[in-house]
Amino acid sequence: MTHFIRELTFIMNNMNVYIKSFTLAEKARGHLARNGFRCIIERTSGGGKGCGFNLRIWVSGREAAAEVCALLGQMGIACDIPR
Amino acid sequence: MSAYGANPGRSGHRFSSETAQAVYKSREQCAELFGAEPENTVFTLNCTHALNFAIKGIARNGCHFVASDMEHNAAIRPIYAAAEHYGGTVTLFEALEDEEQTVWNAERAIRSDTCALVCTAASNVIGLRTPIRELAALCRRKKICFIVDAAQGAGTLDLQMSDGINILCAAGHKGLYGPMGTGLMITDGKYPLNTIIEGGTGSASESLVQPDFMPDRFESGTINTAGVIALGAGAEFVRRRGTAVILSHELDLCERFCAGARKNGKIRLYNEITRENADKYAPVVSFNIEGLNSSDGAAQLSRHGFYMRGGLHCAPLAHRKIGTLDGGTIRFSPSVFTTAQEVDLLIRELGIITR
Repeated sequence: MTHFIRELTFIMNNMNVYIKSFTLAEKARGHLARNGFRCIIERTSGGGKGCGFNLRIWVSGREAAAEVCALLGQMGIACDIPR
Repeated sequence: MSAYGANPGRSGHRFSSETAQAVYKSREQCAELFGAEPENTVFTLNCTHALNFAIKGIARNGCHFVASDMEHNAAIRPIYAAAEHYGGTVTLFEALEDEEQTVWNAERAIRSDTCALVCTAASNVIGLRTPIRELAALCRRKKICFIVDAAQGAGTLDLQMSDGINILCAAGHKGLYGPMGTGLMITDGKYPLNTIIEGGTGSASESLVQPDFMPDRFESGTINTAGVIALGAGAEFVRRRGTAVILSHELDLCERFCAGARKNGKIRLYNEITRENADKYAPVVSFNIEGLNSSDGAAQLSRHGFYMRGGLHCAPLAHRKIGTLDGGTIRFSPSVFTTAQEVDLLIRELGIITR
């Protein structure tokens, strides 16, 4: 599953997770939403990655980001918090 | 269609997103019915389409296939085609009411070069069920892929991936109360499958190679979006009503039909469903009217408002098994909406026809 995630960026109060498959992105969105994290799915096709989906997650602070990563990890989606 | 009918997952605008989410919801609803994960639930055009994906996907050089002696052409034709293409062979095993004997027959058919056992959950001609859990255990022991044709069983039999099924194929338009032009292929992810159709998936578009992730790998081109969303509603209907409740209702109707038909000396039943043997059958009864071939019999009934299929039901193996390969049978196959009164009217009509 690690190849689904190409890029994880942490800007201000949200995280962006790139996911190739809409199905997996929507599954992740639902899982995060059930755990209190609001997120939306945006279609993306830039940056040489081809067509995929950006999961934009509203989160404040590294602790919350770590929780998001843990939740995504439960789905088999690898996630590293950027330093 | 009128609210947000755009191509799902192909664009970033609101309508495309809303459609994609509706498709995902349907995928979840279908997956839940079989205890599967949404990403392993592939929408297909029908059960035949799904079986072709599964059978040709698992096939390798010299692949030996094992299948029951009552498979529908949707399974047996791709099996024979795959065997021919890959220089493989096919062995059929006899399916019986005696489940232990059925499993024993299947085990005897398996060889060291067997790559898959393909089996219907229930015959679409005589309704005979196969012992899915026991066959799954056998396949696990023998380390071969277990593919189930659930066209006749989905929505009535409680089929779960946790029973040990590796790949389940289902029609959307039968027991799942979806529209025609829909179907499902559900996998447990254990056996990687080759593709037989490649194309645009709206994902990983920079690659010239088919995605290796599900469900995109098997959903090339625009899916039957309206059909798929409707299928989700059908699956949800079945889940709420409960497969056990639906099965019980339909089997009661089959018992009622058999009891009434038995009193008419000119109706030949090929599988009689009674209270004692109901657990061995899906709710399907095959019969014929004395003096009429099955197509003429079905046509007569149609003229009086009873719509049933006559003929071979695309299952020559099953008809060979019951000795009706020449003329076929008329199939009584009630739905959750069929009533006891309608069955009584059918019996009365058969009485008039045979007078």
